[in-house]
Amino acid sequence: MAANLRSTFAVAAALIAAGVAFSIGWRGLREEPALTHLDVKVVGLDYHLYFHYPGTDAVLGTSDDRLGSRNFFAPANASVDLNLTSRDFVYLVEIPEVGLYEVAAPGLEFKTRIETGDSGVHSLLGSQMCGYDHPELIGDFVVQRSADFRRTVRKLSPAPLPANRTQ
Amino acid sequence: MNFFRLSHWNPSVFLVISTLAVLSGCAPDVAPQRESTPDVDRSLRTGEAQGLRVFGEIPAFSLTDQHGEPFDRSQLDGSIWVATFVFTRCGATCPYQTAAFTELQQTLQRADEWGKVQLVSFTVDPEFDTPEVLTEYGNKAGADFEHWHFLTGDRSSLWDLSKDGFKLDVQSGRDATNLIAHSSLFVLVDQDSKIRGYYEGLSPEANKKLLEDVRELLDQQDPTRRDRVTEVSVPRDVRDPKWLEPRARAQRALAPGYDVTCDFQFTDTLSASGITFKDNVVDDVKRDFKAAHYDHGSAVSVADVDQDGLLDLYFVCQLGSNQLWRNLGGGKFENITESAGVAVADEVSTGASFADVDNDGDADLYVTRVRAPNRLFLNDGTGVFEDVSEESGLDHVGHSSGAVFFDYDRDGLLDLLLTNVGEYTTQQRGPGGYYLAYKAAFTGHLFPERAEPNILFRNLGDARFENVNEKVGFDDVSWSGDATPIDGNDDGWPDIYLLSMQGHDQYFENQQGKGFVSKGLKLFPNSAWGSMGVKVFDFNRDSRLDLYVTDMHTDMVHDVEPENEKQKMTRNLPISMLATDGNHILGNAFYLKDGKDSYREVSDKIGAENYWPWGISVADLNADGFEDVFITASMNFDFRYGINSVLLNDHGKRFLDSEFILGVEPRAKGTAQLWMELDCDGADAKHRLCEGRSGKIHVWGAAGSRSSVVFDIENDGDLDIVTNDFGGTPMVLTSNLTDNHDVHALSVELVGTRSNRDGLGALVDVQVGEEHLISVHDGKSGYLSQSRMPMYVGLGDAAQADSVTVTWPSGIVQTLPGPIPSNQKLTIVEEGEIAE
Repeated sequence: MAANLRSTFAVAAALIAAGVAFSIGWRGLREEPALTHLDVKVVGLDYHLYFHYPGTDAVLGTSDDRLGSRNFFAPANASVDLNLTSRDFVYLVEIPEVGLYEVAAPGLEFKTRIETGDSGVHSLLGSQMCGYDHPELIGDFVVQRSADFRRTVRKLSPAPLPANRTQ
Repeated sequence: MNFFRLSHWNPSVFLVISTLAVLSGCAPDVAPQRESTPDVDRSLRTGEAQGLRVFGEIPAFSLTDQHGEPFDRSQLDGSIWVATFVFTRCGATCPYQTAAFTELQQTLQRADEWGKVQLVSFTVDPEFDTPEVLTEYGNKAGADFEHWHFLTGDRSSLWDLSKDGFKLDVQSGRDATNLIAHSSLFVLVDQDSKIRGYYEGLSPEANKKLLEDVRELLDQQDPTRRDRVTEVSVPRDVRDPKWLEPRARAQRALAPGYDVTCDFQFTDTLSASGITFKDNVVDDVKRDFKAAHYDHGSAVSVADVDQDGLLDLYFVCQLGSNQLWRNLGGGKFENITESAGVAVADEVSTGASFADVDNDGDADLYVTRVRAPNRLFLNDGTGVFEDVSEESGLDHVGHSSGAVFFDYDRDGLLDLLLTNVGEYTTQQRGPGGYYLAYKAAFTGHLFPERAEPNILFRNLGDARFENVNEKVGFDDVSWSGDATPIDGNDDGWPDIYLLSMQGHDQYFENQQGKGFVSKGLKLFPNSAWGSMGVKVFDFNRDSRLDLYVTDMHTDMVHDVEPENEKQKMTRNLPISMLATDGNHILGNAFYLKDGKDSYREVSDKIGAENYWPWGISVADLNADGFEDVFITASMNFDFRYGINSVLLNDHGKRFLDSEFILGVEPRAKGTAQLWMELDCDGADAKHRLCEGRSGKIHVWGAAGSRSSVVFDIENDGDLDIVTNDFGGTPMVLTSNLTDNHDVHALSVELVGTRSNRDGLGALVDVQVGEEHLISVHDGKSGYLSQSRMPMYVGLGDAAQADSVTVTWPSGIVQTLPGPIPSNQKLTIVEEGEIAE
């Protein structure tokens, strides 16, 4: 009886150990590398800032792009290349924490790069240049661990096709 | 919790919260002791199909408010009010109900309906929600406790009120110990305590209907409301800025310490003057406000058009007729626009320059416009003008701005430098026929195809002009609104300082009338980025002509608090927007001339900074021998108010802020003007200022000046100021200096013979003892303008000048020996030989 019990415990222990090992190994296999670079397109329209992120293919400008507005998400410790434009007015886009101070203007594309730094939430200060106040242009710059960032982007809506005016 | 940031307008939030509310009753521990619902048909909730029917009456109640004071229903008698039931610990529907109340409060405040309508939040958790807790809760919601009441009391009273009074579903027992499970409905109650509607508090549509019904009740209560006009101020304090009076007091307190004459006053005598001109501006900068160059406004210029010895006024406006006002003497004017033939009522006008272009001894007029041929009018000597635009060659079509007459080749004929802003308009036309501006007009300078050349026209004689840009190598496409002649290298040939309102200013050195060489970055490497106004004068009486440039566009980038207006901006636009090397002065620039081709920027050292400046007028306002400055300023709707500046010259050492001391500020007509009327029930219903409002609204915006001219209106020996205020009425600021002081000054009129008839470009040196009071006669005063008027030279304490020497553009140097008694008009006719 005791031997049987020992045997049962041994089998169970072995199974658990194998399960744990498999789990660790599987996670290791599945874990994606940390993002060190990101391309984002920023579009001003109707007193909102829209952020276009690359989707799972990691390439901006394809059909699986994702679209967010107001808050801007980025992976931690990464370089982010921003391409800013507008469909109507001139917007100032500023993130003091990372030294971003740029303009989104119709018919023009301004490129700039920021280094995101550690995870955290910072102020994103958008404004219409020389225009009314628009609270919708004020949001957060959310810097996340790469895995969290990926999850965030996956939850965003698909970006409209290039023909759409927010593209 | 910040209720204001909660949005119940998101449909998904509404669905989720509504579901939660239904499932939980917003009280997780509620016991299933359902009471029967009173027999009231609330199926329509808003009574939309039945009008505002009566659902019942709120019984009398006695509760306690957030301050711990007794509160009973009678305190709401006569008021329309909206009620809801919440509790402060609630995390489900209550935050959204309260956020909706916050929005409702703000909407009613904006519409001046707050107070006529009150809000009442009843707690369903009286044991926890003490007055202190309710106060804190209300504060977080931004509640105005005067008209938004948070009520608590004993549980049974609240239960009875909810169920029997308001006839709301109550899912908890009357005598239970748990929370009273409450409804998320809003209840509208009229002035007689009658229930007039139920509205789902989490539904945006229902809340819009609630607001409509509130207003329906207000209209029933006061039928005259239907014809009401609501006054709206943008920003809210624009008619009475709180910072203005303390600033005025502080400046006036400094006056006793000023070592300059400042005990005189300017009084706005517009109404006595008879002038009824009002600047009509296009909707792009009015109703449909956008940041476009139309907000630069238009000119005011003076000349004695009928040669009666009194200076007449020409006001330019964007829509409708420009107006010429004849000076009748004694500060009175009459409108002679029609008889003079200078209305230019079609299309948008911007600038106006008076000069004698045909050397016949009278003031001709050039009017610049937007996308319409500029106009040249020749004067017949009596104030009647003939339009010779087409044959003159000056009928350029563009986005024209300031026009400056000067004689670049010194041939005795006035040439013209025409500045053109650049293409800031689209092909579409707006009300009144103007061309609509681009929504992003201020990026225009980044599009090379939108550039328009600034043009130098040579006067060929007989009022014929030729574009000589190519011939003389004058190649410039800066977005420019104004320019000035200036002799930087002291060679007697007028060079050009050309303003760029979106970039580096330009400087062109005159190659003895044969050509121009660009030397801007060499002489002025760090010019102001958004230059708007310019004037050349001798600030410190060292016989060198200095240069003052105002910078408006830099000031548009970020808000500056009133207490920081004398400081430079701390940063400009991103370099991508500046499109320059980024080496700029972030505000006004003052270049003190040290010698030939040598200038030193001293704006901060001498106090030359101000906020939102447009044009500059330089004149010796207190006749002390040092030239002072008047700067038009302010940005109008929808910005805060900005003051015009008067800078008295403290003996060439610094400027002393004096606009409040001298009565120029605050403006007698107020800091705001009626900017526009909107019909929120009609054509303007979708206007952003009609959001949450109904009926007609009068929108008040900040007053602001653009152009100005300084001259002696009544020939009483002191200098007065006339402005052209954007979208408003002008100011006629009459000085009483000579009422209180024995002023010594000379009025100098030049008559060129070999030089151009107006003597433009002449240097006048009035010698008083060891002092040389140097002035250049250029007609520049104010933005977009050039005037034809005598020079005014204050002599300070000296009752006479020792000599007056004129260096004419021809090269003739002519001296009138003294003594020359003050307080007379000298008419100096050019004669003599050209000096070697």
